[in-house]
Amino acid sequence: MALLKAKNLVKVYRGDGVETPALRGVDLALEAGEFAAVAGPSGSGKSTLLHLLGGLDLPTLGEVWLEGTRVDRLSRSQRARLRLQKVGFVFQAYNLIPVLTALENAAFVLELRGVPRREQRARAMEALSALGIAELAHRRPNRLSGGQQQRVAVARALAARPAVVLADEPTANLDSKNGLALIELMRRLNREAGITFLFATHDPRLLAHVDRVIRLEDGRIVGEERR
Amino acid sequence: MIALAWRNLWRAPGRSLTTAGVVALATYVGLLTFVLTWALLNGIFQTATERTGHLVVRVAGYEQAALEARYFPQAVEARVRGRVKNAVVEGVLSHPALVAGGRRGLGAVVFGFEPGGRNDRVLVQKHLVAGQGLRPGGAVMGRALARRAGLAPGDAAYLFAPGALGMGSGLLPVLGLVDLPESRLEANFVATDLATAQALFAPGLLERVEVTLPWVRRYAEAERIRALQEALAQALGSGYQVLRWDQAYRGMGTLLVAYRRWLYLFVLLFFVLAALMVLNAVYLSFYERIRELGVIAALGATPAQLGRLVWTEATLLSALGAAAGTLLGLATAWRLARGFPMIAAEEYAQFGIPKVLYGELHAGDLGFTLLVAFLSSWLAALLPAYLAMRLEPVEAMRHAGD
Repeated sequence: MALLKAKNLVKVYRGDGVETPALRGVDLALEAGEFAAVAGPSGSGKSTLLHLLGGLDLPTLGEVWLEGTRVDRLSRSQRARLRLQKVGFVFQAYNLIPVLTALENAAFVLELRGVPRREQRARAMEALSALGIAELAHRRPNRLSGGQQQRVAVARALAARPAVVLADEPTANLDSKNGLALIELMRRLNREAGITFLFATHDPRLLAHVDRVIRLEDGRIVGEERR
Repeated sequence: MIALAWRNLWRAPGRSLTTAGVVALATYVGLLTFVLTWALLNGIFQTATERTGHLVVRVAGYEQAALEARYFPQAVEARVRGRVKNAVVEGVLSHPALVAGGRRGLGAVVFGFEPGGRNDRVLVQKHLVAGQGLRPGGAVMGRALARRAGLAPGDAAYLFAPGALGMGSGLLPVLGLVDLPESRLEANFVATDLATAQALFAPGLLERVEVTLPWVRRYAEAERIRALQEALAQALGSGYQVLRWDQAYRGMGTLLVAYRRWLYLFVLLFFVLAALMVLNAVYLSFYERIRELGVIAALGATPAQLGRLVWTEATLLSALGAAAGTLLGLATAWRLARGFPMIAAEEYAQFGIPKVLYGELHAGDLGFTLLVAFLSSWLAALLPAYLAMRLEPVEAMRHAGD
């Protein structure tokens, strides 16, 4: 059984009487342990697809399944709980909480889950160490570089040990060195810890490292490569 | 979550401090209002019970009764004394009379009570400004009455009360003058000893028996009088009525009860204003962080957790303000409990307010103030918390609020 599955996904945004189709019937299945990317130009629907797969938004038509649960049938609260337990998100703009330290940011999802404080700290520190930034644990985001902030964001996703990490343009705001370092870290975590990653990206550096590329254009899958 | 809410408050420290300051001010003003009100109530209670005693025994239906039917045998005083413990019991005879001096005759009320008794102490000795205190066979007058009648200590005042049960007239030496806080009382006041008053107006009779309870000093304790009132009324039978101080001093008693009710409304109003400030601060904070709240929602926070985050911020803001206001309020209450002078004391003395008042703060009032402080803040946080609960992560993350 696929970890994550989309069936005939359609998403149409409506506003001011105008309908804008973002996805026009996408079918996709992602197995556990995959290191895959959805690639395509801006406006192709990559981010929308990630949002629907992660239960952040609801499709206009179609089905989303995550570990056997039909996501698009869940209530707002149920989807929130599902995201909390099973999905890790990494965003292009890092989206760290500015008043929390790197350690607290990394532990934030665990805090939402109600994990005991001691365990939160241990797991967050473990994630920060795996990403090579344990020494920055007590710094707030405004005292971290872009690359360091994105590592904290990845640590936040990983500390919760989700079923899948959905990362939307995780390297877009990073320079070559930091971007590459982050890609290598995520690749290592995928290989060593078996964490499933699905990226939305058009960054060739990242595309060069993934095992599978799903090409998206105008809301449709137009091709797929497996390596 | 609490740590996050607390730190969120300090993203806009000026705004948070201003809002907490308003909550502190409302708490402080609320507590101060209670402290000052209790001081006033106690002051008025003290004056009123000085004038009437805590309980007054009169003939049943005395208000409608003819003058001579208002009197009752002096033996009733002993019956009352036998019924109440730890109390000062004093029989008083008062009667309207014409007082004639060197210049003119004026209407007055002549009070007869024992020299050295409670009434002598609180009406004569406490306010004596000229001449000597009360002695058998003499009279002490209100200074205003004496001035208008053309009388001074050493003069003889002629008292005339046609239709009285006693002699109805007599010539008494003016021993001294009193300056009473209540001008109206001073303008009519003549005091003599009980035996002289009885000889003039009603031999062997009293007009009332006053019961003063030294163990009831504060307005808040006034309810303790009720049981004694009922027991005494039962013991004396239907021919007599036992009035509490607020029934005897009727206008003031009603006013105090009404004032207490309004007081709670005033305090509520302070917090309505504070709640608007909290709403403003929490809503602005929410609006500026819609994007961040969207991220938190995306990470898996349930609507309830988002609402709780906003609600916790409002609670912490209020707690900060309420704590500061309470500390200031307690310090002020402690200082005012040691006594403070009444503003425009001479004018307010007409209404029975003493020149020095003593503040008082009750645990119930502190609890009420804090409860209202938190309830108003929670109500103010309802709208932003509700909006946070309704956030859609994707839309919220597109928001450019901050």
